[in-house]
Amino acid sequence: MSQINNALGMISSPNYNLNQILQATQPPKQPGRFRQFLGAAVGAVGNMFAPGIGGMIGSAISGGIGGIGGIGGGLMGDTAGYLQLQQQMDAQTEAFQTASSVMKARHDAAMAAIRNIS
Amino acid sequence: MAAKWTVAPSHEELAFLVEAGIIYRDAKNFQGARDVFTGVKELFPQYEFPEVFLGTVEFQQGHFDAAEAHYRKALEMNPRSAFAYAHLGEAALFRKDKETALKHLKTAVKLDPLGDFGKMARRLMEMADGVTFS
Repeated sequence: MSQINNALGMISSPNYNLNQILQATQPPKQPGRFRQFLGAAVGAVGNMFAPGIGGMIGSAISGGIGGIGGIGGGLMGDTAGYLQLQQQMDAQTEAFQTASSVMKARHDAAMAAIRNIS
Repeated sequence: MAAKWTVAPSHEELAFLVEAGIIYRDAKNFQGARDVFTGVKELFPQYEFPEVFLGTVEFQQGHFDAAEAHYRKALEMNPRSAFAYAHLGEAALFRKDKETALKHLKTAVKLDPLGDFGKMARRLMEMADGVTFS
């Protein structure tokens, strides 16, 4: 809304140019992928120490500080999104660990069968 | 007419052959693995485990019924084979028959509570806990 107001303000002002209007009406710059991943990773680590805090830290890193102040809007949306992403990552990690432990146990059993040859 | 073997491999050689079969299997050379395990079975007919390994070759290709047939044959040879029961449970789990899988896995744990076969069955039971089939 503030962007629209800025743009409208510029139009009504005699001292504007096309570039200023375009800049004012651009959506906020999206964070890079690296920042998105870094945010998710730091968020996960943060949650180890203080559940809930990690998500906020992660949001702040990946979404920018504006997210916290509400200037960029969507603090709750971002946090929920990253919490969901984090839950998906946790579920994938758990599934990977289970599969990995089954594979190891399967290999150990095969080796035990060989050892049991007497 | 059954072949009469004039070779008598040592247990070390047998272990080497089985490991070679496992490597073939895991490298997806299924025919090679099948040949090795069939050879081991011929050389050591008193053991049930080559039959189990033959089942794992089928299992790894997604042929769960064929795998199960091998495991059952192994159990006919040794009804107390925790190794065969653990694999039978695994095949049932992958056929989405959780109830039968748990029954076989529990038998494997009962037969080998502290060993590696029981451990394999316990890990599969943990995996089954987190699985819901539609």
